[in-house]
Amino acid sequence: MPVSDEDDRLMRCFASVFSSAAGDEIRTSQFEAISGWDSLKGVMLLAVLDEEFGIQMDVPELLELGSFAAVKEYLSKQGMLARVKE
Amino acid sequence: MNLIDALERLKRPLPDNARALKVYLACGFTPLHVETFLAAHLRDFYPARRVEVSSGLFGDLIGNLERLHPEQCDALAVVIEWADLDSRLGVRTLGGWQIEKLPDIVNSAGRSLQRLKLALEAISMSTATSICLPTLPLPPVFYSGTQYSSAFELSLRRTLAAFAEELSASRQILVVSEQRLDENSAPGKRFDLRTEITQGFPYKISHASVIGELLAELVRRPQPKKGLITDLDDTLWAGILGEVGIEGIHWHLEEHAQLHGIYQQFLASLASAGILLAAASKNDAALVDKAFERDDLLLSKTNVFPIEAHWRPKSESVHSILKKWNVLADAVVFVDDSPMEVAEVKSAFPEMECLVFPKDDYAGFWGMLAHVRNRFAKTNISEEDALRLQSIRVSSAFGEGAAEEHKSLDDFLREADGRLTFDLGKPAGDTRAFELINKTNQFNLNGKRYDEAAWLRLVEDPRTCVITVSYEDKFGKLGRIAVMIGRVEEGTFIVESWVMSCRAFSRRIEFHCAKYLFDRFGAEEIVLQVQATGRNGPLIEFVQQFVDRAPETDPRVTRSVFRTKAPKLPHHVEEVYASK
Repeated sequence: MPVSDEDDRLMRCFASVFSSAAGDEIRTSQFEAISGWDSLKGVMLLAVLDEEFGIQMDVPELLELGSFAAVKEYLSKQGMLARVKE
Repeated sequence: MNLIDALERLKRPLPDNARALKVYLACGFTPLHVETFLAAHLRDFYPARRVEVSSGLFGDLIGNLERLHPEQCDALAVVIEWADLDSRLGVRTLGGWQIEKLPDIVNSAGRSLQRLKLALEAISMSTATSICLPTLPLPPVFYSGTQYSSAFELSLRRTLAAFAEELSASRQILVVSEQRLDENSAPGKRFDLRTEITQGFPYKISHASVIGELLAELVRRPQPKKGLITDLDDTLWAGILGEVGIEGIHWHLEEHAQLHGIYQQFLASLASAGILLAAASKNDAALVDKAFERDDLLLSKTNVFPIEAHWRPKSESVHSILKKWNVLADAVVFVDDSPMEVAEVKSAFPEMECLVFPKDDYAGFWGMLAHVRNRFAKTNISEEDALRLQSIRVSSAFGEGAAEEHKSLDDFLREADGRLTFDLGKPAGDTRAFELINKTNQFNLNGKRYDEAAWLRLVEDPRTCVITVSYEDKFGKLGRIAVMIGRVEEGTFIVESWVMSCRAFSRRIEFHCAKYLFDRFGAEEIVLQVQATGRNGPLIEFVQQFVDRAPETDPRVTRSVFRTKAPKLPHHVEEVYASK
């Protein structure tokens, strides 16, 4: 699968939950700084990531990762992304 | 639908001034993804409505219902889980599962169901209510293990079944089908212990999706289709009548034709619920007539009208049937074993649902029956359902009688001895009036539809007149065939909704209705809130007679214009206050 498709899949997950945030904001911000962030959105994001990539974690673990880039890195290490776009 | 799709659907833009559809989701757990899926499916069903799903406090299903005010929502969706009946049947509290506690758990669940029943009965008086009974497995509470059911478990399930049965007697309450749930969501793959403990949400996402979808379907309460047109050879029966003769066609097990017998039995069931049935067959008409005389046929000939048997295209038969029924193609299902015939009819009537009869495919056949049953699903059967086919036969005879005897319509109508009854009682519980308003297309003032909550508010509004009209004549009874809704303002009757069943056409009943508004309410003029819908041509033509042009916004018809232009009105009229 092309690299950009994987990145797009992850971005689609984030964008579906943070509907009012721009792509750049999602890519560059810590979760808690993204527009519309609250704990419910965190739960929603976890559910979407579980559905899309099969990862299971809790909100504190997600918050520990902290950002889009860190989630991408985590997924890559777990072998859940074919390759991570640099 | 998966969660990401659901979230994206909810972001779709809405038209300006989109009307809100307020649905209250009552549950004891965190509503989370059930709320998302419910809202997303409702957005699919109502693309022009702003769907607003709200919910109450965590862990207090019954309290949420008891605190709910009817004006808070247009519809209510309730999801019950075992833990709502007794928290010891859940995993978020640790109240103990010892044997000595089991009788109390069962009794306490029974008391909760009683409270739930009272709350639901009260709220459903004014709000359409859809209920999903517990879908999760019971926790391993019972000493009998999970291989067989203990008396405690069976008692619990019996109490729940009685609760559901009693509630389902209310027209306003629909209970999600357990069978449909089982088909769409495997019972062993529903519970998510992790998310129940960490988030207070007990469902796997796929199960939440199914619950959201089924509840949305019940909230929508789609109008059933009106009629089914069936082929005969290799569909209603096995065999080609013209080749094997009347004794050579089969529908019994011993003749390896059981699917056709089941199909006949199914059609007879539809007919008994007021669904119109007709046959379209490339066949010899006299032979078909004789075949229908076989006394082992499971579908009576009296249930099938008309029977179009000739060698011309099927689409021609369908056209003739629609004309006799006076219904539109989108309210009809066509069934034929020949894909070519199905394609030919579909090409002539793209709005019609056309199905190939899967005569050699058992699973496909079973699926088709369920599909067709859903297309004709009704929440209740009214007196008019039993009268429908008879009245269409009567209408057909009525038209033919007038034509054959070369009488003037005035003479013919006078001799028909028609009796019109105008009922001014509030039809809050009258499913027929509600159905007419929401199903009628051709003689419909403006296509305005009402959901259950809006309907109840409307009929209870003291400023609103709701008039239900019934008709019968020497040819038979048509039952309730028209509804008018409006209000009187300073000598003017403003008609907000007006529908009349197509079965009542050609009898001047619409003129009688207008005259009644002038006479009964002392109106000097009536204002018709007309809106062309693309399907209400007969209504538009009626109005045009009084305004001499295509009706513009809210045309007015004065008493004097009506008197000048209305034809002779031959029927006897009476007034009652009897609606349910």
